[in-house]
Amino acid sequence: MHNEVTRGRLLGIKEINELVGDVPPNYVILLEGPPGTGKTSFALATVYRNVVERGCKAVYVVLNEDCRKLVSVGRSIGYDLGSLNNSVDIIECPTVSDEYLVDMITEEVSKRILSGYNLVVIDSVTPILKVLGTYSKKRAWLHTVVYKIASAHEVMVILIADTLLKDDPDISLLEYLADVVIEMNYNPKSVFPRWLRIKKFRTRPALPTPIYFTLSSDGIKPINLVSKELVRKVRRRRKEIVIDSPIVKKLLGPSLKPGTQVGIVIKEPATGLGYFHQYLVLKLALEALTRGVRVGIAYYGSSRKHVLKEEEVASKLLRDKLTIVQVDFTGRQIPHHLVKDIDKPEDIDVLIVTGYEKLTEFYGIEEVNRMIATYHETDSSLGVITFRIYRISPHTPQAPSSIYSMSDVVIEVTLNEERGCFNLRVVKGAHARRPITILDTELEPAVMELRRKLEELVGFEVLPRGV
Amino acid sequence: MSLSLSKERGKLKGVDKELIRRELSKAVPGLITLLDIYAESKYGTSFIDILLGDLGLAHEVIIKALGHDDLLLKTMLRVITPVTSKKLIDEDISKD
Repeated sequence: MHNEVTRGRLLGIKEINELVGDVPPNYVILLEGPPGTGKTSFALATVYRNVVERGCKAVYVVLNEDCRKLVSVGRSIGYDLGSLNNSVDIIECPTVSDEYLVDMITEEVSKRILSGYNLVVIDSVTPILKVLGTYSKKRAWLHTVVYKIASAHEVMVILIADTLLKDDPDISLLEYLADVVIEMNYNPKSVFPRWLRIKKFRTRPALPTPIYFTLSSDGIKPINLVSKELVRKVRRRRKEIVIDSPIVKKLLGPSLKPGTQVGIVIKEPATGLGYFHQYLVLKLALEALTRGVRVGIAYYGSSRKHVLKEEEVASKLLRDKLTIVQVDFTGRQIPHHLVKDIDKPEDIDVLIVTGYEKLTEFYGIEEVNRMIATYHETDSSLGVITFRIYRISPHTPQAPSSIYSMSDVVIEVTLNEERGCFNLRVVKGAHARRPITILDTELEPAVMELRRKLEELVGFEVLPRGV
Repeated sequence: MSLSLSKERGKLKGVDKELIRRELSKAVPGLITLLDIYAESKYGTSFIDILLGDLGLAHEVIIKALGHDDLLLKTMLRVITPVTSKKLIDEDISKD
């Protein structure tokens, strides 16, 4: 544990501090949002980080729930307050109906501040404001007691407020008073159900763009913010994948540089990628075996997808270098992060994701568009080479525009009925100035060559002939 | 600090401290509790006793507890004036 109490304070998500810097130690922070949006989790994360990384002592006032429940919630999301020895004091306030509540909280908090506590959380401030009743009393308590004590004693105060009504005057008052206002939201119909935004940050620019996040046993993880430190670390070891087949070069260009994003749209009545899929899996298996590239393959869908023979073989050959996951999102509320958690995204060098059309059926095209655009951004910055495969069907007749607008290379797959195979048409890519169409069967020699190389490497036949 | 408080009022004895506390709590909920904690930990006495006995010290307590704030003490005195004035009047009446 560090003894750095004189430095600024931290927020619950490291990546936000990278954007806005440390929080001055005497700031009042408001976490506002409807119940169940992650305010308490964010506060717990903030307490945990400040105690562990900045040597703070925190007092956590609980008004709405049992303190044992708070500790167990913290533990379930990776912030075990019980492990912080005597650095966190939790005060559970009984529900009382008048201003005794205010006196009681003020007394307990003041005593601890005088004995060296420098981080206060009031979870939540809503019942206190209800007890105070009039606007002038609320303002007097908030300003003369809360705000002043934070300033005078360099105490960071976190006020948690439930937004139960639209245009709640209490929220307006709190927003007016607080130095930092963080709004939190939850929408179960969205692919990114949890998000927050920084509405106000005194002396610094606000961050009005939503920051999507997940809550899991690993804590609060942002989806669309990537730590600069992590980017620097992973970018150093990323590898370029050189394409040695002239015919595949026409599709993907001479090489796949770290961060390259490839969008593949399968247009009905085409059903798959044919030899191209086999080429991809075998090529990546070879890269994994010879150069240590780590591969992830993920399927979105409600039922077990048939795994290709090549994928089966690759998973046997590669074991820890290849992860295949099936994301049955229909039974869960947060499907998106499961693919990211295929392992840590930073540990995956190449990712193949299919089944976006299933998500479209479930969430609608706009949500999937947002999801693809968001992951494009994070995968590019982390240097993950990603193949996103979207299958157009009668239920999802339109591909998300972000596949076209944000990918570096876009390939459309159609059925060539005359030849009984698939047409692969490159519609976007720096290597293809104008659209190029090839037949998937033209890739057969490249697939065979890869299979031969793999067999030489592993010393046995990786797939029976004719598969 | 220029406070327009008569000497007599600063040394009032037997004033209803609870009434003063209630009046001040009405004006700023929680404030007296906070100042009491501070005064008791540093000076071993309640803030109301300090306020009624030594305005200079009361001002010091406020500054230390809440930062620089001249107007807060003036405001407090304005709030408690009706209470202390009534006490003075009562004393005057009883003298008569």
